[in-house]
Amino acid sequence: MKWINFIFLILLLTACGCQQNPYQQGERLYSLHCANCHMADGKGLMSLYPPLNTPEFQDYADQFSCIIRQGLSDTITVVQKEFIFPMPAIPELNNVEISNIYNYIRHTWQPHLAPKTAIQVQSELDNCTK
Amino acid sequence: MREIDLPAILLLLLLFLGCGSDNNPLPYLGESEEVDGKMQYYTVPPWEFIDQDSNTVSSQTMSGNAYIADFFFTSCPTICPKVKTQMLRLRDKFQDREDLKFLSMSVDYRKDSVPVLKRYSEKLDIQSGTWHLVQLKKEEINAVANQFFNVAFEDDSAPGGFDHSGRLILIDGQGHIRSYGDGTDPESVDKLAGDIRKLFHEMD
Repeated sequence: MKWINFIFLILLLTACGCQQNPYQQGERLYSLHCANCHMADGKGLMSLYPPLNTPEFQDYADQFSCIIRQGLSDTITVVQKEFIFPMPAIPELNNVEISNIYNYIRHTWQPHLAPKTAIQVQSELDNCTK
Repeated sequence: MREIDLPAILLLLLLFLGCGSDNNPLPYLGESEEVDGKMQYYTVPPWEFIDQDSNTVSSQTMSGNAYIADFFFTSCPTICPKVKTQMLRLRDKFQDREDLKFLSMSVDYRKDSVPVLKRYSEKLDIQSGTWHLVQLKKEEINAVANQFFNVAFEDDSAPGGFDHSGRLILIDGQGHIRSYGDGTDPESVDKLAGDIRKLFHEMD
């Protein structure tokens, strides 16, 4: 009987382990730098801050690194709403951290998009328009 | 002879006491004194600001209405969106009460002009006349924050350049401060909602 309990415990632990988010640094950085405005569930805030969990995220995926590094002051349209309030730059994040945030968002709300490596982030940053 | 179920009686008693404490009247916060046998409670000193619709709003125009006051700024990257989410929740919860108003005071004396506050209010579906967004002048920030039992100051090292608490203050129709909650904590705001109901009970 004790053995059965033990096996059950192991199974439970394994199941918990499998469900864990593989992008833990990304999750922490998201909650520190992004969740205040874009909210923990990625829904944004009404017409003030855009959601990150809708298909339109894909349209800005290539600019992701530049938006984080430089901020965003242009008007953007997401789910037919215009977002005009600027996003501040977060210059202190390095390539690895940016890729971890991107991969956390992608893993959580945009699973059809490909993950980004820190090298890809660097090449995006090298080609920012500003 | 029937046995007395002591734990059950104790439980009932606790439940009763618990309910009882919730029926306590809402306290008056701040210093109060008795003058000629009448209690004089702390009152927020008279104030007057211009809101997002360029209308004058003052302690006088608020008189007779309860209101929730908070401090924020539109480009605040930290607690403000969370606090605004909770204020929106309170607004939606009490939308049938025309005698509950909101006063959001921006500490960004440089950027949050009337047009900026207007755009911000539109993006949050904030109704004119119910929810006033106003800009404080540089020299009045500390004093006004103090008068509302709050903390707000300019701080170049804080994200966005200002530091302020996320406290929501409940003021009654006579300008007395009756309760407050932490606008970054939904549970604290639930408690504040309970206090707002108590205040309505008093007003009705």
